[in-house]
Amino acid sequence: MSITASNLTKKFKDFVAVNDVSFKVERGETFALLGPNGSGKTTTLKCLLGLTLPTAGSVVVEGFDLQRSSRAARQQMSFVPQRVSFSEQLTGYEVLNFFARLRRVPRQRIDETISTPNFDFNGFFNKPVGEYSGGMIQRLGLAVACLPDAPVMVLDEPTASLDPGSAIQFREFLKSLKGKGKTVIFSSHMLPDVEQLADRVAIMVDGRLVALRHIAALREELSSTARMRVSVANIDSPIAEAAITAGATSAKLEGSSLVISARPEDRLEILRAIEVGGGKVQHFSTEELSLEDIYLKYVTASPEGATYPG
Amino acid sequence: MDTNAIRTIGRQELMINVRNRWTLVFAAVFGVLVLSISYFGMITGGSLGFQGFARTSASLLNMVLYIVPLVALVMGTLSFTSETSAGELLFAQPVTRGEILIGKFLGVFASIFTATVIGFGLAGVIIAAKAGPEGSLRYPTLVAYSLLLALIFLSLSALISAICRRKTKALGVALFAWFFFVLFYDLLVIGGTFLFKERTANSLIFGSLFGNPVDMVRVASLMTLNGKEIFGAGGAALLRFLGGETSSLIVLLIALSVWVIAPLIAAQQLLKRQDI
Amino acid sequence: MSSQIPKPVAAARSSGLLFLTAANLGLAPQALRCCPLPRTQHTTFKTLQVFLIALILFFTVSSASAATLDVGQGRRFDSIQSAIDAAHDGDKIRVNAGTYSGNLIIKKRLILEGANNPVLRGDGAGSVISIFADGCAVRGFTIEHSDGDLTREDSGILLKSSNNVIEDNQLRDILYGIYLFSSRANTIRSNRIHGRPELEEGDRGAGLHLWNSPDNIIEDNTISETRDGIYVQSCNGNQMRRNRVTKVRYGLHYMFSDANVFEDNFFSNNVAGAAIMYSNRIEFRRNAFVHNRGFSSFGILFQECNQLKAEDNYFVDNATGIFMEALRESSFRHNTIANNDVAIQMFSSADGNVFTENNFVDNLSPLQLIGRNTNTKWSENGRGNFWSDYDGYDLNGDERGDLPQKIQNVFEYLEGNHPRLRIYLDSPAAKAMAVAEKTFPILRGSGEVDSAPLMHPVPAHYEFSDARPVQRMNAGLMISSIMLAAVAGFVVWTNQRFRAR
Repeated sequence: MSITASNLTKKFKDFVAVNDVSFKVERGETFALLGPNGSGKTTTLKCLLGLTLPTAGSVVVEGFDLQRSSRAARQQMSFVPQRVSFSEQLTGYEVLNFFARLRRVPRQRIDETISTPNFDFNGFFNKPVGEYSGGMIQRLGLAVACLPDAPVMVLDEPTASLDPGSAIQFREFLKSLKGKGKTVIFSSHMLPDVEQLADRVAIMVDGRLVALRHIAALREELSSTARMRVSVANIDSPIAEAAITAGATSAKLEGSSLVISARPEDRLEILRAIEVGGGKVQHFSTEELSLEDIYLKYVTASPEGATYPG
Repeated sequence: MDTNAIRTIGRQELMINVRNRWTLVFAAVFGVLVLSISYFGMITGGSLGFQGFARTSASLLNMVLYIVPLVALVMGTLSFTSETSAGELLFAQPVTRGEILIGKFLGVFASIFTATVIGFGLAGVIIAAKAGPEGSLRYPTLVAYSLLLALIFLSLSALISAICRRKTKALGVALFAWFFFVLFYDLLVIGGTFLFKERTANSLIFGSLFGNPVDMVRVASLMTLNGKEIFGAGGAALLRFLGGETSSLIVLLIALSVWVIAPLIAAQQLLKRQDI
Repeated sequence: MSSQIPKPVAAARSSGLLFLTAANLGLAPQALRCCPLPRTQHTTFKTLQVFLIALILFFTVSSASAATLDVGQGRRFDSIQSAIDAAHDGDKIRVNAGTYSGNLIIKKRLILEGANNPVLRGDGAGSVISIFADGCAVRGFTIEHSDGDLTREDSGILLKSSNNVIEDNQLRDILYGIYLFSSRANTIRSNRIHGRPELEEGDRGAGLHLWNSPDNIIEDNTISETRDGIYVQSCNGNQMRRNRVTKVRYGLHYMFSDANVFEDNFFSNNVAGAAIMYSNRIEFRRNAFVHNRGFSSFGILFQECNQLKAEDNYFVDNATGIFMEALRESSFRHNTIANNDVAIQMFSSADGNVFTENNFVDNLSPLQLIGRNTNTKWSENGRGNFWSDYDGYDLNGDERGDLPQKIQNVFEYLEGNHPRLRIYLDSPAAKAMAVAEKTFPILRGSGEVDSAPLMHPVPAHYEFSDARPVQRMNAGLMISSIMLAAVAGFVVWTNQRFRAR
């Protein structure tokens, strides 16, 4: 087991940021913490890194207890913060050199790291960080994280501040880490990232871990709850019943259209059933379920969910 | 304690501080002041030419007492409250918070040391030209006390930063601390002595010295630089209060060491319990 | 050779009488020992003849001039005492180089003159030389090893007579140097006196001790490591000039002595340069009182004195320049008081003193007043003093500041009556109080004010160059300073440079 978090709880005065969160991450697995802003993802990650001290619970990284042997535990991890920043007075090389010394990484690792195609410093390597663009600083942060070749990579909202180009590059980079057999754990509030990169997803809402899914299962779940909006001229006809009979999980009238939840393979069948049932379909559209819908689903699904408003 | 980590962090801190303007501004301001004081003290020799090294070094000391605590507080606070994300990355590394604290402490001290030594070195050339044999011990003593003062206020800035966390708030508190130790504290004690009976007032004054490192350094330096009789009967009573000259020096050095170490330990304890 | 020519008749009579006595006792007169006498003839005639010849010879010798008696190895006398015994009033005893032992007691009017610095070592009991006859002179000796009883006046030279001249001697390992005991009108000149540093200060004697001895001239002496340099008790009308006194308790110490004058003396590294107590009408000029440092050290100290006059003196680098308790009606003029920790320490018993045209330069505190304000006049006839910290202006160009100089700021004022507060000397708080006092004049501070401060220092020519701070290059400090600055510069330079891959 690469990372084991048990019963992590973090309270700030009377606010519970992380509430009894437990999960295990396998070696080589890419694990995502998914949740809206303020859901406790970042705090959980910081607990894993030893930056935030949990009120209760424990973390074991590659067999090392974070509290008792914090140095050894942290030796196993590399971290990329949400917003990377370095002293503007230092050059990229000096930054890397600093972290190399700090982690006792041999000097040639610097050359190895930056020679990979992911880090193209364009000759800026010997210029101070103050002259770097945001994307370059982000890349430097990734290079720092890659330097020690640690088995676990922790990233906090890695794509949040990236432009689309960089985001694509970054996804490639994460995939390459996976290829090297690294354990990757990252937080995100963006479903596409998680869908593309993660093996497993932990969904956090209001500090609680509300769901832990393999990505395939999540995908299944998502599509099963995908919605279809159908505009019908004669809305009074009993089309909702028809849709349900044809396999829709739900069908509700909203104004002049019917909103139907159904598995994709049943959609055509449902449309036919509406036509057969006398409905005159003028227009229809499908929409993917938004993250909010999933959260809502889990919040309403969990018994105490209502006690933790947004 | 991982000395490699401490050394690495210290060296980077020195590098950053030398490259940002603070060290050079401090070195320049300090150098100009030290140079002008020693020039007018030693070369022009005062109005009638009696100005000796003792008076020049006393003027230097006065300047040191104002500037060194301020610079140490400001540079220390700026360094100990580094930006959150840079801090996160550093604290996530396999180093303890104590090592980071000590590394930064030594790094900032090294940069203050560098700036101070440039100023004192330049002034030393002027002073050495005329100081004669009496400068041999006294001038290095002055430099040593200045550096000790820098250590103390650096340590205080670590504590202030640990308490305040936020840069702006910490800077505000640091400035207040400077004002308090340099001026306000003494005014309070002087005012306080009139509220008490003679005997109480005397122990209040002598005891109060230990509550203010600036006072300790001022009294100790003036006694070393100008002769122990500079404070007259008060000074004699103080030496007796502390059990003679040697024991006074020992007590003083212990007290000053406590002022360096205690805030640092307090800062470390706070830091240990803090979320980054 | 004595310049005095004795009156022939009187001299002849007294000499003859002495000679007769000596002859009757069967002693050969030493003055004539060089002339071989025919001892084989025993007739009375012959004896009478020889006697007469001798008498005539003696008359011619003694009346023409005083004799010079040579002492030394291979000379006529091998001990000084034997020469003294043989000498007559007015004779000169010349002592050649060498070490001579024994204490000397002089009861004749003699001149003792050392040639090539002979050493006279006392036997350790009493004084090395005691002089009971008027008009003696002792010069050119090194005198050492007196006894150590303060109550018996054990001295290098003890004078119990008047009109003596003591000069060019070196005195060491003695309790008192030269003790003038009811001894008037002597000249003590160019002697060097060094006491017993191994003794506690209280167990030593004074370099020069004058008791009940008026009208002496004391000049060009150098005194160190005795108790007081020159101690003067109950002696009026002495003059002290150009003496140098160092490393003693009080350089010059007057007790109950009036109308003395001391000028051009140099006092340094003492507990007090001079201490003047219970004495009136003393005048002193152009003296230097310097480097008198210690917890209660003073350039000069006054206690219960009236009508003193101080002019053109220098009080430099003392813990306290001038200390006065119950000093009255005295005037200070043209003195320079510089670089003292406290320029003047004054008890409110000071009364009716005047300070005019003095220079107060770079003192840490100009005035420490213990008790209430005094009626000291800090200016006279519109002429105040020069204060180096005066920050007023002179718009009408009369060389005097238009604003009065408040001599004490509020901190100094408080400090006078609360000595422990001095710990805060030179602290930012003390300075802030002074600024506050200027800004808000409601703070009631000291009433000691110079209403006509001088804009420029009064010309003063400091003659004692060795009292200035040593201004030599300190090579070690120079080199280490340069190296330190260079190392620091190097650190800055290497850290400024970007480290390239």
